[in-house]
Amino acid sequence: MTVLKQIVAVVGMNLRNLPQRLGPSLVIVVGIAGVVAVLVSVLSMAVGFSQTIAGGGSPDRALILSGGALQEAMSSIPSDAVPNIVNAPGIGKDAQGRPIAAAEALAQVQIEPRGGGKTINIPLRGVSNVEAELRPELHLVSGRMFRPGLHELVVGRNLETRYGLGVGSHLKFQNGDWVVVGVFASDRASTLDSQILTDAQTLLAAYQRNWFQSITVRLAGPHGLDALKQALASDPTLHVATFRESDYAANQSRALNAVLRFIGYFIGGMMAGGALFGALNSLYASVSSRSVEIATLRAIGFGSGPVVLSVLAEALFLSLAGALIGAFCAWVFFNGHVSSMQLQGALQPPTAFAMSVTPSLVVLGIIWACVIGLVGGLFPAVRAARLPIARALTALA
Amino acid sequence: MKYFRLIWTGLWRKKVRTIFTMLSIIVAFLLFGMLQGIDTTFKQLVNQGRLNVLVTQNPAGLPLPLADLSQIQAVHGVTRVTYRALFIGDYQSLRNIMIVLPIDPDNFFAENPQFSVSQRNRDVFLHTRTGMLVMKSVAERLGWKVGDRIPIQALNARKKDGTATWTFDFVGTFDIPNSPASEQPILLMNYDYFDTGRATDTGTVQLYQETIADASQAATIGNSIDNLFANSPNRTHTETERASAQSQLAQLGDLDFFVEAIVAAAFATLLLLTGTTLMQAYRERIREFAVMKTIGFTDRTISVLVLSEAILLTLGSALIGLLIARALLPVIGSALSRYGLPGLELPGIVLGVGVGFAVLLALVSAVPAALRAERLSIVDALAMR
Repeated sequence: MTVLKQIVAVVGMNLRNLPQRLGPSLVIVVGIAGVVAVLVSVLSMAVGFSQTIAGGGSPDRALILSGGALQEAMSSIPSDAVPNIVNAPGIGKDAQGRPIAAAEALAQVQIEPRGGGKTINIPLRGVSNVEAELRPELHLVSGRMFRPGLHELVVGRNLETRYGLGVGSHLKFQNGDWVVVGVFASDRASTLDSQILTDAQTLLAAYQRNWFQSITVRLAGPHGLDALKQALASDPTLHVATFRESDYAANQSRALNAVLRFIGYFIGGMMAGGALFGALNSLYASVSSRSVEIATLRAIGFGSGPVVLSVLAEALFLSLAGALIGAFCAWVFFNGHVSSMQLQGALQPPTAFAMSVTPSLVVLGIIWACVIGLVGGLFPAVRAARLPIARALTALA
Repeated sequence: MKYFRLIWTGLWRKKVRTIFTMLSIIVAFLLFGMLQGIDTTFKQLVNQGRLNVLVTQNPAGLPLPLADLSQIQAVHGVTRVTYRALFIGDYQSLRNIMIVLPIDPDNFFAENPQFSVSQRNRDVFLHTRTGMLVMKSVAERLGWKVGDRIPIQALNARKKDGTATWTFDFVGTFDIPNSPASEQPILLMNYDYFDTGRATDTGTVQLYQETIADASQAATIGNSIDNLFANSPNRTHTETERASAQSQLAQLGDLDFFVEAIVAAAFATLLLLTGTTLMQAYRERIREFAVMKTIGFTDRTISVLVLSEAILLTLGSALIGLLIARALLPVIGSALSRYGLPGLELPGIVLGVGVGFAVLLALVSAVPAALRAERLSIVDALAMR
C-alpha cells in the first residue's frame, strides 16, 4: 500500500470518528470561533473607522487651516482673510469662473438620543452653496437642501439611523428653533455622514462669530496643491497651513486606527493562547482515546507518518470549522453595525462609522485559526507516532 | 482539610493536562481583569464627579465670556464659583502630551479639594505670574526641578506674538491622591498669564464650576443659571460634575459593550473547556472512586472531593490571572499616561467579582462529574460496566 493511500485511509477514518469525541472536539471549535470572532470584530472596527475617515478626504481637494492647527477644531481663520485665500492660484474654477472653495465654520449641537440616554455632541458645519461642485459625492436621500438665511439644517444619514433625526425634526440651539429639511449621504462612508450641515453665514450670525474654522477648495489640476501652497506661503498677511484633504484624513485616523489594531491583536492573541491550550488538551485526549486504534494500525503495517497527519488533519479540520463559525458570527452581528468613536481626545465630537467585515479580515482569521490548530496538533501528533504498540494493545486486556 | 493531600494528588494526576487547563483559565481571567480594570477605572473617574458641584459650559463647544462670572455668582444657592480655560500642548514632542488648565488661583483649590497642594506651593504659584504647578508623577517622570523654565508647545492656543510656545517657571507639584487621574499629565497655570498672552478668545473661559449649598437643588440652580443666558449669543448648559463626566465617557464610544462581549466570549469557551476536562478526568478515575467507596468513603465525600478539586483548579488559576492583570495594568497605564490617559489599576471589587466567577465556573463545570461520582455504584464501576 502506498503512503498516500495510507494517509487517505487513516485521515478519513479519523475524521469520520469525530462525532464520537464530540465534547473535546467542540472545545477546539468553540475556542477558535471565539478567537476569530473577537479578532475579526475588533479589526472590522479599525477597518470601518479608517474607511469612514478616508471617505471624507479626496486627493482632488485641499483643506486650509490656521497655522499650527492640527485639527479643524483648533483652527480659526478670520473672515477678512477668506477672499485672499480663495482667490489664490491653484484653486479650480466653476463654469462662471468663480473659485470652487468654501469657508466653513464648525459648532456643536447637543442631541438627546432616541429612547433616552446621555446627550451627545454632534458637529454642526456651516457650508456655502458651492457644495455641489466642491463635494459632488454628497447627495440628498430625502427632503431638500437648506436655504441660506433660514434656520434650516440637513443631517447626515448616520444621524438619522442612530439618533432618529429626520426631515421635520426640530432642534433648539442658539436662541433658535432649527428645522431639519433634508437628509444627505455620501457615496462612500464619510465623517460628514455624522454631521449636521447648514449655511455658513447663517451659522456665523447665530453664533455672532466673524471667523471660520477652515477653507476647503477644489484643486486645479495635478499641480494645484503646489501652486496654492506657494501662493499662500508668500502672502505675509496670511498664517495658514494647507493640506491635501486625503492626507489630512489619513493622518487624523492614524492614531485611533493603531490603537484599535493593537487592541484587536492583543486581545485576539491572548484568547488565541487560551484556545491553544484548550486545543492541546483536547487533542491529547483524542490521541489517548484512539491509542488502541493507532496501535492496531501500526501493528498491521501503517507508518507513523499517516498517523501524525491524521492528528494534524483532525486539528486543522476543527480549527477551520471554528474559524468559519467565528467569522460568520462577526459578520452576522457586526458587519454594518454602526458604532461611534471619538477621533482624537476630548477636543472632537464622536464620529459614527459602520464596522466592516472584509474578506481579507476573514482570511486573516482563518490563518490565525490554522496556526493555532497546527501548533496545538503538533505535540499530540508526535505522541501518537511514538505510542509503544505492544503496551497500547495489552492495555486493552 | 485532612483530604487536602488527596485533592492535591488528584489534581496533578495528569500533569500536562492540568497545566494546559490552568493556562487557559489564567489567560481568560487575565483578560477579564484587564478589561474590567480599564472599564472600572473610567467608571471610577465618573463617580468621583461630585453632585454638589455644577459645571457650566457652552453647548456649542465654544468658550464662554468671563463676564458671565458675576451673574453666576449672584444666583441663589451658589456658594462659590471658579472658572478655567483649557489647552492641549506637548513638551518636546507629541509623546509628552500636556493638559494645561489656566485656573483662577483664588477659588480653584477651595473648589477642588481633590487637588492636594502644599500651602507654600500655592503661595508661590499665586505670586508667580508665569508659574506652573505640575502633577507630581509627571514632574518626576520628566525630571523637572523647582526653578526650571519649561517650554510647552500649545496645539490649540496661539500667542499674540504668533508663536505657540508658552514658557513657564516650574514652582512645584500637586497630586490627586487615590484617583486614576493622578497619572494624568495635568499642568496648572495662572489664568491671567494665559488670557493676556493668547491671540484669540481673549476674555473667555472653557467652563465655570459652581459649588452649591444643597445638592438636591442641583437641577433648579442649574436651570436658573442657564436661564440667565438663554437669550445671549453664548447660551450655557449646566449639569452636575458627575453628569458632565458621564457624558464625556459616553462620547468616547461603546466601551461597555465591547468589554462585555469579549469577556462573555472568553468565558463561554472556558466553561466548555473546563467542563470537558473535568468530565474526562472523572471517567479516567471511575475505578479509583469505586475503590475509595469500598474502603469506606461516603458518596457525599466523593462528590465533595470532586468539587473541591475543581474549585482549587479554577480558583488558583483565576487568582494567578487576576494578579498578573493587577501587576500589568499600572505598567500599561503609566505607559499610556504620557498620551494624557488616566492611570489604570485593578480595583478590589474586580478581584472579588473575578473570584466569584471562578467559583461559579468550578461549580457549573464540575457538578455533572460530581453527581455521577456520587451516584456511582461500586459493583458496576469495578466491573467497568
